[in-house]
Order: sequence, then C-alpha cells, then structure tokens
Amino acid sequence: MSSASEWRSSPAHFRAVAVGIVGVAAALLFRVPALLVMSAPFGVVAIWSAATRPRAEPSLVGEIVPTTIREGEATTWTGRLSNLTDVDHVVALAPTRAWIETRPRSGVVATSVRKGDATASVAIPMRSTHWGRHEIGPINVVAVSSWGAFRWRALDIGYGLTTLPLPEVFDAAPPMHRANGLVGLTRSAQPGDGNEFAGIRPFQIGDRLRRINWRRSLRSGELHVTSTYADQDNHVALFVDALADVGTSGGIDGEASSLDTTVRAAGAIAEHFLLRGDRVSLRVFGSFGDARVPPASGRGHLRRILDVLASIETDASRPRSLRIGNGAVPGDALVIMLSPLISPAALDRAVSVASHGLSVAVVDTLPENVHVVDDPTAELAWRIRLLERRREIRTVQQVGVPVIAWHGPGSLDPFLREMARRSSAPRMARR
Amino acid sequence: MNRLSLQQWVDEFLATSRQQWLLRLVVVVAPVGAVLAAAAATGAWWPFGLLMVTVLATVSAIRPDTHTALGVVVLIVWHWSARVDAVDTPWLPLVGICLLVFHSVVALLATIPTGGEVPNATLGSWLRRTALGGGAALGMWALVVVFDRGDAAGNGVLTALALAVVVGAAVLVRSRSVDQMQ
Repeated sequence: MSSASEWRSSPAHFRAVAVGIVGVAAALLFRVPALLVMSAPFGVVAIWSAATRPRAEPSLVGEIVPTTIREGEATTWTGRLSNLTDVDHVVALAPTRAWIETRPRSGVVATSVRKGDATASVAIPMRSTHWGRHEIGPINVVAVSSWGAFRWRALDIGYGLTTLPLPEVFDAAPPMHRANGLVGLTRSAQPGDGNEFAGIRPFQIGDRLRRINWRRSLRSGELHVTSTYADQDNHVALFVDALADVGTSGGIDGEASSLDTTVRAAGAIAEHFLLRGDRVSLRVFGSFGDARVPPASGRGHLRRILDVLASIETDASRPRSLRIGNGAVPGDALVIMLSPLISPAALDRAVSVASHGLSVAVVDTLPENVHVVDDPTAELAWRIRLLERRREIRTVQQVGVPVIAWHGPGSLDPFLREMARRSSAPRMARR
Repeated sequence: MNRLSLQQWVDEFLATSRQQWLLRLVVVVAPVGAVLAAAAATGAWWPFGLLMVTVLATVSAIRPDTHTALGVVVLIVWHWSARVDAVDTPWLPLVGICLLVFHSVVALLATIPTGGEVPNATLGSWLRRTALGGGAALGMWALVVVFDRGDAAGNGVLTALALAVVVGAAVLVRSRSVDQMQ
C-alpha cells in the first residue's frame, strides 16, 4: 500500500529561479555585465528545469518477497514505478529497523531512469537477524526531475516480515519412553503391525497371511507367523515460558537472550521429533495472542509451531493463567518445559504437571553470566535471585522433575534414557 | 544539543559514503574557489567573506536541502559585483562556473540521503548538464567581452528586448513551477 504526494519544487529550483531570473533582470536593469555572466547559467538551469517538469503522477507498486523467512535469511523489497516521464532518477529509503539489516547498510538505493523509459524499479535487499514479527518501512520513494528541481514522494507502508526462529542443532540418541500412539517410528513395547522383528509364534486367528513364516511352518508342521513390534508415535508437549526475556539479544550473529535460547531450542526439539514422525504440541504461556498448537505431526506442523514461536512477545502480566487441568495434556505425553526459571511460576507448573503422572523435563535456558552487569546493586540482586533459583531448582529435582541446562545436541539424552528405562516400571500417579 | 541528536549526527557521519564525502568536498571547495578567484581578480583578500563562505558552504554540504546555499551564491555574487569592475578578466567565467558547480552538486546531494550512492549514469548526466551550463557562462562572458571591447553604446531597444526575453522566461518558469513552490 502506498500514499503519494504531487510533484513539488525543491530549494534548488527556488535558488536557480532567484539567482537566474532575478539576477539576469537586475543585470540588465542596472547594467552590471558581471552579474549577467554569473546569473546566466542559473537562468538556463531554471528554464531547463521548468521546461522538463514532469506532469504525470508516477504510480508505485511495492512488494516484499518472501514475507516469511528464517533467521539470517534475506528478503527483498521491490518498488516498481510506472508512468515516469522526464524523471532523472529514483531514490528509495528504508528506515532503520531493529533486527533488519539492509544492503546497503544505509537503506538508501538510487536508480537512474534512462531517457524515454516510463518505468523503473528499485530494490532493497533486507536480512532479518532475529526471530519475530517485524514491521518493514515505511519505505520512502522519491522521484527526481532534471536538476533536482521537482520531486515526487510516495510512502510504501504496511509490510510485515515474519522471521521464523532458526532451530538450534539438536539430536537425541536414546529411545523414547513408552508410546501409545497408532503410527510412527518409535518401537512400541507391544507387539503389533510394524517393521521391527519381535519373534516367531504360532498362527492365531486374525493374523495376516503375509506374516506366515513358511520355512518354520514346514519344519514344524504347524503354521507360524513372524511377529513384529508395533510402530507407534509419541506425543511431545512443549511448554514455552515467555514470561521474561533475560540477557542481551544480539540476533542470529550475536549473543542469545533467554527467550532466544528458549524459542530456538523449542524449534529444534519440535523439528527433531516431528521429523521422527512423532506428534508435537506447543503451548506458550505469558505470550500475547493465541499461543497454542494442538498435537500433530509432519513438516507442515513444524511450520505452524515455528509461526507461533515467531509471534512470541514477553508478557509477565499473566502468570495466573498457567494452570492446566489433567485433560490438557494426555497422560502418555512427554512434557518438555523450556524456561529461564526466573519466575517460580514455571517450576510450579512443572511440578503440577508431574504430579498428574506425566513425564516432565525442564530445560533451563538462562544464559550464563547473566548476573554480570555494570551496576553493582543490580549484580548483587542478580546473585541473590540466582541463589534462590538454585534452591527452587533443587526442590523441584527432589520431587522428581529433572532440570536440564540447554547445551544443544544431546541435551535431553540423559532424561530420555531415564524415561525409556522407567517406561516398563510401575508408576504411581495422583488422579 | 541533546544526546539523541548528537548520536544521530554521529550515525549520519559514520553512514556517509565515500562518494558523498567527495561530493560534499566539492560543495565546500567550489564557492571557496569562487572567492579565491575574486581575490585574484581584485588583488585583495577578503578574509571575512572567505570565512563566511566556508562556513555557509559547509552548512550547505551538511544540510543540502535548505536555502543556505542561496546565501552562499548571493554573498559571492554581491562581493564580485561590488568589488570588481572589469568584465574581461578570465576569473569572471571561472566564478560563474564555480557557482554553477556548487549549485548542481548541492541540488544533487539534496536528492540522495546520507549514505546513498548516486548511480554512475545519473552522475554522468548531471556532469553533462553542468558542462552545458558552464558553456552558457562562457558564452555569456564572451558576449559581454565583445560588447565591452567594442565599447558599444547603450541600446534601449536591445535592452528592452532582453528584458522581454527575461519576462517571458519568468512567465514560463512561473507557469510551470511557481504555483507549486513552497
């Protein structure tokens, strides 16, 4: 969307007219030949400028393609101007925006309009260095007539750029915990229709004929079938704490704040499990707007999750909305909560979920050296808060909720290994 | 000046491209050259004028989209008209060309924000236009010198004709621009 003004004269044109016309007239009237020599070029410029003044109003069509990118990727704003007559050059200026790098850095791009050309286009490449929804513009577009005498301005507004978080590298080697889903890549403890060999057993009514193991059947004289373990999926429920953002964020190329780590880690975990064929749900607490994604699987679902993660804004005003009922997360789900654990609300919630019998892990995303600040009072306050935090974490760990510091690949391995070990053991849950 | 505007100045300073620095240098050098030419023509320095022109030209280089440049031109034209009587001096067309170059570069700078690069094609076309304007200054000087050396007597008809041309030009310029002028 663009709003344009009409052609307007510039101070340069006023100068040419004032010196040229007035100077030449004064030189003739007062008989000052030197004044004539000095004013004559300005007179030529003034007449030239007036004679080539553009009459038609140009039209501007701007677009940003693509409008959704990942952190560190680039997009381009392109403005196409038409109906250009007697235009010398076109200049576009993209204002400086946080987390948006333009090329050139100044955001100013000028393009020359050849004589006779009625169209021109200007393009400003932009790179987003931080996840989130960014406003682009307003892009200021100026068409200039010869001698810079007249200018036409247009503002191209209303662009938004969604920058999806670039998930950190994450991998998990251990097998998943018990799985109750119907399809997926995780081997179930229960026999069923799957790919992984479980054993050979006598034929039962209902077994598929293609499962019959003919060699064993011929040897034994009795029908036997090859049994397999069922292939099942897991439900991984991601809880993201967006109550506070602690630390300095330097974008994709710099330091990561707690929310940066949280969002990128959530993206990485979601991507890992979704690519394995598991179901992943997301709930962001403390964030504005709708911040829930129901469980589903597939690459399209990863995009949905990253979209919601990109829309996160910190909001400490709604810690009371954290309560969830038992039905909010199915009993077989693996709950992973990502939080800097600055607010005790996140730990309270983790304990609450664990008390319903769910497998819960808390991923600590607080940056290191967050307490190192210039202000000694603030540093002392941070030290006190970190001591309290350590005590809170110990209390939660004693209840059986592991708190794991995020270190990228393999961060969840000990937890997942423990979950797989526990899956066959009896458990007690408060109902 | 508060801290924010100082920061804006520093940012602008750092964002200025090399090409813009060169163009801004021309903006300062051209009027100073005109003053030096006037000094050469009169054989006397004009320190106050040199200082004033340098300051105003620097302001014009920093803020080209203002009327400061008009002050520079008027100051130099006034100084020459008041101090130099000779018209057959070669310094006169040089002053005219310096003023035109100053005007052109300030006008060009006013269209490109700090940090922007003027396309080479645009630079080329502006250079050609300025050369044509400079040719007009040289042509007018040659005409004036011819009249001066011929010691031609005042011709009322010719003057009236010239004034009529000026009025016609003024009407043309007004009809196409004055109605929109700020």
